[in-house]
Amino acid sequence: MSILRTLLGIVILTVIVLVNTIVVMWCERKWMGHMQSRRGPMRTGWHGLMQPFADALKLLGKEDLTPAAADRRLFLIAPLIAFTPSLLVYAAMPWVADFTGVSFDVGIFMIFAIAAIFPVGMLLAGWSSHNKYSLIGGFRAAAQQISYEVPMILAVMGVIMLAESLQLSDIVDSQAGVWNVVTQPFAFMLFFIGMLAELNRTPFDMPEAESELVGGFNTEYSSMRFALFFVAEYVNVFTWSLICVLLFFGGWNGPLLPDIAWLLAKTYLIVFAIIWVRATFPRVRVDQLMALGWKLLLPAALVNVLITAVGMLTNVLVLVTLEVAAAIALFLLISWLGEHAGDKRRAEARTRIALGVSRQAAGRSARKTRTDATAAETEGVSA
Amino acid sequence: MSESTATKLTTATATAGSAVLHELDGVFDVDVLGPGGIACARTGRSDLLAVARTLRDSYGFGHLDLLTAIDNPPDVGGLDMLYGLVRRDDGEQVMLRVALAEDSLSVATLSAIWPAANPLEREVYDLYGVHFEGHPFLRRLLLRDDFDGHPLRKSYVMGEHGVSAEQVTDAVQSHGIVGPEGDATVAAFPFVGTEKNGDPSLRSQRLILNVGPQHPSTHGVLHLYLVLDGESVIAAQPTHGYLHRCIEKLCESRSYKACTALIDRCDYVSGFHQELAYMLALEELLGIEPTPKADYIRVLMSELVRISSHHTWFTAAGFDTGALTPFLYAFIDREEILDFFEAVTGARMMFNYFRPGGVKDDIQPEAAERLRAWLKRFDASVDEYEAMLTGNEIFRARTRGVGILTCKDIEDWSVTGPLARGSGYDIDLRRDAPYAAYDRIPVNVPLGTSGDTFDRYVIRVAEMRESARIALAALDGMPEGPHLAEGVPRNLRPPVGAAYRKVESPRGELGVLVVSDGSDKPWRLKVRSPALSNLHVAPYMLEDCKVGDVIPVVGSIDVVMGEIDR
Repeated sequence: MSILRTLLGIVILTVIVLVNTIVVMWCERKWMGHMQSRRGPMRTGWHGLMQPFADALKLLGKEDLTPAAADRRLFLIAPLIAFTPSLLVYAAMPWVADFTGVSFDVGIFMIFAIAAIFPVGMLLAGWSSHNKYSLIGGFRAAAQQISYEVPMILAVMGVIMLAESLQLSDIVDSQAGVWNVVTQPFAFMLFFIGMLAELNRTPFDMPEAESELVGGFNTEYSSMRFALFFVAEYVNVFTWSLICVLLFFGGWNGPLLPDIAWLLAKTYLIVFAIIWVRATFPRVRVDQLMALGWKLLLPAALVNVLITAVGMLTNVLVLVTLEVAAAIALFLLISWLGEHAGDKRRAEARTRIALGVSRQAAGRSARKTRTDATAAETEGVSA
Repeated sequence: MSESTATKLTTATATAGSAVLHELDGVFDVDVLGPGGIACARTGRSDLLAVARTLRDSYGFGHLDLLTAIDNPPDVGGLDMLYGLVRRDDGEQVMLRVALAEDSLSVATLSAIWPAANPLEREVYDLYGVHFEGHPFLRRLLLRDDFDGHPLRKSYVMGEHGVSAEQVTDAVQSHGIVGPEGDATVAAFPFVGTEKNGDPSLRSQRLILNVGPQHPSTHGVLHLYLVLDGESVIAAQPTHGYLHRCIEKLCESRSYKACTALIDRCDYVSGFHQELAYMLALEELLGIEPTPKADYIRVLMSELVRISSHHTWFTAAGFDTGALTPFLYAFIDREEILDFFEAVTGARMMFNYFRPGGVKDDIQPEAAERLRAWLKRFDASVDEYEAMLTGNEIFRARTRGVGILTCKDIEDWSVTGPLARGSGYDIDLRRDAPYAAYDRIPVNVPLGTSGDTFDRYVIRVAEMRESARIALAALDGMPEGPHLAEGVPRNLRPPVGAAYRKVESPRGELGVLVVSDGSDKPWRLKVRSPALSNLHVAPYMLEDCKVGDVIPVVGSIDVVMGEIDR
């Protein structure tokens, strides 16, 4: 009986997650479209609602190619390794108070641990494809995920300290009064940046940077195997938005409306923010990404732990003030760094090219004098 | 035509000479080429290097602008090498001419004096079979390595040469840059990248990455051969020719008017500039003056097509750095320009609109009004584009201080256009050597300071605004009158001679050399492609770059493969 119940739970959860994934896909295409002054899909179904299904059908109908030089076994297994954890995290995910897969005591760490398997799939896909673009994409993915998981988990540490529990439902309950985004805005900022990197979304879509790496780690994949990567990424978008809501936006807490409506509404707001970022930002370079992760976000996350500790020892007002100050400071620092990026090299270049420019300018003015003289001469003649 | 073509050219045309003629006369064996009066210094094969050095060092002809050959009829044999040199101080140009006999088609390479000669000599070797002694990397530039024959020779018979089925199979098998000799070919590559990139103690195994020609963002069918150490670029070499459509060869068998349609197709992003350069050269040969109104229409069209070409570059600049949205914003505006082109010329891309003596059709008043309204709100559109990229921290981090081009490289590699202006190199033919109605419309030239990708971006955006201003001025100042000169013969037979005219295309100085033998078809038609010279400086710009920088930096050159490969 309990096995049947478990199986039923798995099926229901999978269906809920996949339906939401399809909605996320559709939202991305429509919202991106409207942000780019176009309409997005319009032909399949009402406002293109059936587009994800049409895409899935198309991918299913395509030939499943395996490159001759590929490491066959790894090549076939990689999409599964990438896809499975994206659903597996829901084992520990609380939806609403009484609808949870398994209520782990260490729920949030369980989720981080499972999610960490995803880059292994990308690395395997990149390695086994026997394609240089895939390989670079896979390596970038691995490097990126390791670099950003650390500051992200450290940022969540503040939330855990406030809730005094690793259990997600406890964390949500602790936000019944004030949401964590108010008491932990700095942590939220770090978490959101880390989340974008974890999701390989713009501006951190390095592993699949199409302008550099063709398709990145999944260049050689086609048909259903490609679809698995594709779907896994959108499941992850939904998953991390959900986690973000649970950690920082009070989960299912909210007046009047049913819990699940609050949860989904907040989740889709985060999804919207992620898509908004994609429509707005270019992509950072891989060394800039590493520098940002290790040199900026990691120390910032440690500072956040410190601030939280100070806040817990004093009072909430001190905590909020310090957090907001830290968030503003980080924002200004990143803006300043971006604004003045390359200043040193530009100054160097300016001195390097100044000589040539001045020489050429001298030639030009000499020419102008010559032409003026000729003009004067002709004028004199005509007069 | 039995005597040497070039001999006939000069004897037939001994008219006005330029100031530079007097300057060089007596020192060199100088005569005048064509009715436009291009000073042409003749030199023997053995003296070429010495003469070239003197011209550069003592007379300041620092830019190698043109390098090509003009063939003689098969019964005479041999050909003439033609080197066009430009002095940037005053824009004077001089040609160097070396006659080569059929039994010794070889001459010293000029690539030690002007590195820009490197790809251009490869092209002449490819199409004419001239051997350049001492060339560092004499390999076909446009055609395949196993191609049989040199198609621009007049003795080349179509159909007799060509490629057999076995050759195709061999070519497929040995596809790629690494030829049958394997590493030997790679070793012969002129790696120009430096070894200083990255920490030597962290150096890992080299990775050779072929970017293109089917890579989605190499701007057409460009092939970049990269040597990587991790994410750092150690060396780079552009390879092209995948879009070679023998346009120059095809023109030799078409009437002068039919050539317009072919020339259009060189640079499919800014066709009007190709047409204009060709028309200017042809009109010079024919001795026709375009009507004043046609001059203004030509300026208007050139500037509009510059905007639309910069639109294409702008979208690519966004895509290259991963920003998706600018693309659609720019293309909404580009559509407006293309609609105008369609209304006036009937085509959106391949216009075939300029004619000797003017333009094909007049501009309808409604189209002009619509355009005027659009031009007036264009500045606001550019503000919108800039809002998306210019101030964006990530875009700045990606482009500032990246892909620096120095003035020395500009001079060595004959770099022109926004690429040169981005490094503060103040050249613009519209202002320096006005053609069409540019002498009546003032042109402001925006200049960069640091020569990095960001400066080139800023320059091009400023040029878009400036172009809109010029277009509006041309539209407002357009005189009444006919749009096409009267009395242009239906069948064009220019007198024997040569004319070389340049215009400022969105990519730089675009030149067309037309050589007439008095018949109704051009004897030789050469397009000086600015993007070709600009592209070959890319390896120097990629010094100290990461893989992620390659595409934005190459994109900032704004290559159009159709124009490079012709």
